[in-house]
Amino acid sequence: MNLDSWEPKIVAFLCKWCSGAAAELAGVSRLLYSPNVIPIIVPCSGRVDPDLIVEAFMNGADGVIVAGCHTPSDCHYIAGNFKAFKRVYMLKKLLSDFGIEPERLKLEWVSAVESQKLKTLFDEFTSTIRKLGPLRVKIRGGSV
Amino acid sequence: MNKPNIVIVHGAICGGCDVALANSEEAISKILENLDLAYWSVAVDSRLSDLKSLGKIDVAVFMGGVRTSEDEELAKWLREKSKILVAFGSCSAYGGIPGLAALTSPIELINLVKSTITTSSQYKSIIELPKLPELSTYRALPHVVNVDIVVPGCPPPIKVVNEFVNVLLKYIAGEEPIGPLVIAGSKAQCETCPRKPKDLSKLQIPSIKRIYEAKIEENRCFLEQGILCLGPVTREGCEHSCINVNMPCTGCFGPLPGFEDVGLRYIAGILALVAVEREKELMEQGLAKILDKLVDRLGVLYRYTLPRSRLYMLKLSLEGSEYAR
Amino acid sequence: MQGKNLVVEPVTRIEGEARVIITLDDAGKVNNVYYQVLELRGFEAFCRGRLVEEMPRISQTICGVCSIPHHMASAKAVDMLFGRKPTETAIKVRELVHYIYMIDDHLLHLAVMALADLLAERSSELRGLVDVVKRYPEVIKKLITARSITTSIIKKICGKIIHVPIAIPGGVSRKLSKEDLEFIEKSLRELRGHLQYTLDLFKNTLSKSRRLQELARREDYELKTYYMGLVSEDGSLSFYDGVLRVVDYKGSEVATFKPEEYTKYIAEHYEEWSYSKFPYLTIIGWQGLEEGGVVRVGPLARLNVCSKVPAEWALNEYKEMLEFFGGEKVVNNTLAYHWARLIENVYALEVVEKMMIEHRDLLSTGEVVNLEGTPRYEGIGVVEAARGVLIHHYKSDSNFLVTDVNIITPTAINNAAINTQLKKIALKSWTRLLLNEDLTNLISELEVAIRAFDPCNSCATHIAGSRLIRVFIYDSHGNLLKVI
Repeated sequence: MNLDSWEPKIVAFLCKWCSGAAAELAGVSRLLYSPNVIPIIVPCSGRVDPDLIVEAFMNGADGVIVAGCHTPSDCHYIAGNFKAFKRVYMLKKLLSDFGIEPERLKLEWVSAVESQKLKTLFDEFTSTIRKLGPLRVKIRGGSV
Repeated sequence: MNKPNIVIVHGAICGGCDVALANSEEAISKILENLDLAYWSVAVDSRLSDLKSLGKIDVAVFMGGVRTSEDEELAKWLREKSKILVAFGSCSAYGGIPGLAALTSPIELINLVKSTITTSSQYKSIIELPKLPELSTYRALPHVVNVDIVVPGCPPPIKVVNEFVNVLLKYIAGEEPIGPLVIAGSKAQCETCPRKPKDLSKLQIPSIKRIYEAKIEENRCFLEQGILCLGPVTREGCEHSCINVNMPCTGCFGPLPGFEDVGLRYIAGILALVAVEREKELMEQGLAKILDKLVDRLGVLYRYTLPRSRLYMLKLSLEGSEYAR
Repeated sequence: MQGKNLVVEPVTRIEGEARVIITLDDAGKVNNVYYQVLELRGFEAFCRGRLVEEMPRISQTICGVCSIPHHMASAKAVDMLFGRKPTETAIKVRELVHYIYMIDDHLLHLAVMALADLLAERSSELRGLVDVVKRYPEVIKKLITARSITTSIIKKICGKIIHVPIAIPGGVSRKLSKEDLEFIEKSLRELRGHLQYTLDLFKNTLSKSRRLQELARREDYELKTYYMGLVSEDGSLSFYDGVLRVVDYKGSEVATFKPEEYTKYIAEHYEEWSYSKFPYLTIIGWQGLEEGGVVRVGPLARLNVCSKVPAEWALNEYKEMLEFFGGEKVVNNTLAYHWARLIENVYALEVVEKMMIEHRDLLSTGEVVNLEGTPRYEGIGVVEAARGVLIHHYKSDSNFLVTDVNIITPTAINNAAINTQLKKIALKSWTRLLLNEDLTNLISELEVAIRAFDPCNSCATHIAGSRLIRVFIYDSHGNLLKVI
């Protein structure tokens, strides 16, 4: 892999009611944000199966964002965001167990009007991943 | 003698699968009656050279995980030579408990083993002998070659062993194998669990408890007691042998069809239900505190199946390792 | 001509995988023999980071033949780590399972591994189970029936036969039901007859077989080693609890110590050529693979070490064995291991029968677990597995995650003795070795000796993998000359 030309690939799962709407708003407002982020709209952050996140990594993602509605009460489906929280929380620990930096997975609450917050989230996360480098696994006692 | 032949071969074993087979009088007598037992080091005096000189093999039963380069070569050689290849036992099928070493490099493994409290190397060794088999990337058998039958269990219980032999005899008699065939149910343990709560939709997992923290209640669902039972993500077929003696399932029968990664499934489906009725009260901080109780995720979620996990697959693909899907 | 190596691979009818390597000097004379174990899974590595209360279920998968002693030794280490004294009921349930296991394992070894060696009229005549089933189907049938009794008792109490789940910190997960008790009592009555049969079979075979009698009297099958075993406070033969005692080949006591003190008495030597370590007694020191410096464990060692056998039938059988070997208290001939196994079966049966009379109520009533205790974050558990002394030693952090693991298995302890025994036999018999010779008989003699130890190679390495014993013949430059 030619590290000079490497660009972070980031997948962002956005729920249509909150963070997805914020993305729409960002677009309409002509806010520039990192082109490294590929948004995928889902009905709810609670729909994001840990399998999907791992699938993203398996298919070339160096980082994954899951953005949903604010807790406690913004979720359109009542408590989907809490499920997302628990799943991402455990998956981050699991990534660490497997030798992958947990910082490569980020959960954030972004409401429909928080387009600026979304832009900042994308830009900063891209910078984080850029610093971490391409995805790799570090096992105990072994080389990367 | 034109009986079809059968060989029983070892990767990284503990011996339990050999005993599990020997424990079934029905299985052993059917095998001895219908097949020529050409190789089984535990019970028969055939040498490796006898195995390698067999012209063809009708049935090869592989026990244990693929740990050394020799295990790997043997597995590939058997696939080539054999009509029917069987992954017998959870180590062979999924990796088994030694799969927990998969995330440690072989050098580090040996260093750790050498560093135990009573080990000392103060005496020099002056013996030069043939090299030991080298440790390579640990894998379950289906990751190295395609298998026709999977017999899960740590070790497979007698009932499953008997069913396996019956299937084997059908294949030998000419029935077409549709592999890989798993000799276990395709539903979760919960389906037939004697402790299944009446209304699963009302299942509450109040907290996470380790088995030393409180007396384990008999006849009550473990999850309702906060004890992490892997029943919901594990195939049935063992007749709930552990659950019946008041211990939670740890998943040795392996993942359900279509949900091969046990850990991710458990996180998605069960851990997401922790304290589900108190989410707004606890908020992220409180929920995190409960989830933090699961301090050994690998040992609990992937005790038998770590080499089959998606993240392990990710590791293998990133380092360019060979593996069969 | 260069010196050569001769390698036997795999050794058959043992648990796990190992090979025997015989090194020859330039004149073709044997100068040494090594027993090389080929597996490594890494338990002492990957058990770190595990929940310590799960260790009884995890660590027992070191071995599927002796999973129950691992489960029990682990349980005792975990009890100590949590500072919990197990309840009376729990101790009795564990003991019951452990003593029945002992019979089960010894019978398994007899039926599947040893029988061909014992019943053969000529060396290598019977090549294992298939041949024995053909020639002596009634014997196999009887042993299978006997084992179905022991396995069904274990299954009834533990849910599974191999890799059992019942031990928890401070106790067990369940007590026995009335139905369990009745089942066990009925089974024990049947078992008596079967054990009598095995003893009769052995003694008849021995009295008729000149080959066996010769082996039992051969000087090169005799090893004057130290012996170590668990005994109770009064010196009685014991499998579950007690203190460790060491005697020399004449029977004089060399040391007695509590299991918790084992690190002062036992150390392990590591050699690069085998995945199994070499435990040795620190008071003797590591003297290499020399008869005078090694220690043996297992059925013969246990009988040599104990000063009492408080069970009538077992004691009578034991006296018969002592008489056969010349009347001394300590028997040094390796073949006696087979006889010792059968005597231990009888002892275990009598202990369990007594337990069912004296402690019947305790087994089915009372508390199963004690949750009180001040954690020490370090624990040591020692039991006698079929093959000998088994030690589990854990350290944990304040979250009860394992930080250190040390497991010493009986086959590892016997490792040095096995090597020494093989060397003795090879040096005596193989005065001149030609590559073209049929080595089958000679190799068989080595394997017969190995099998008497009933080695469990998965245990010995508890590091991983295995493959049978193969024979390679190398010259001293490492060039492969022949493979058997």
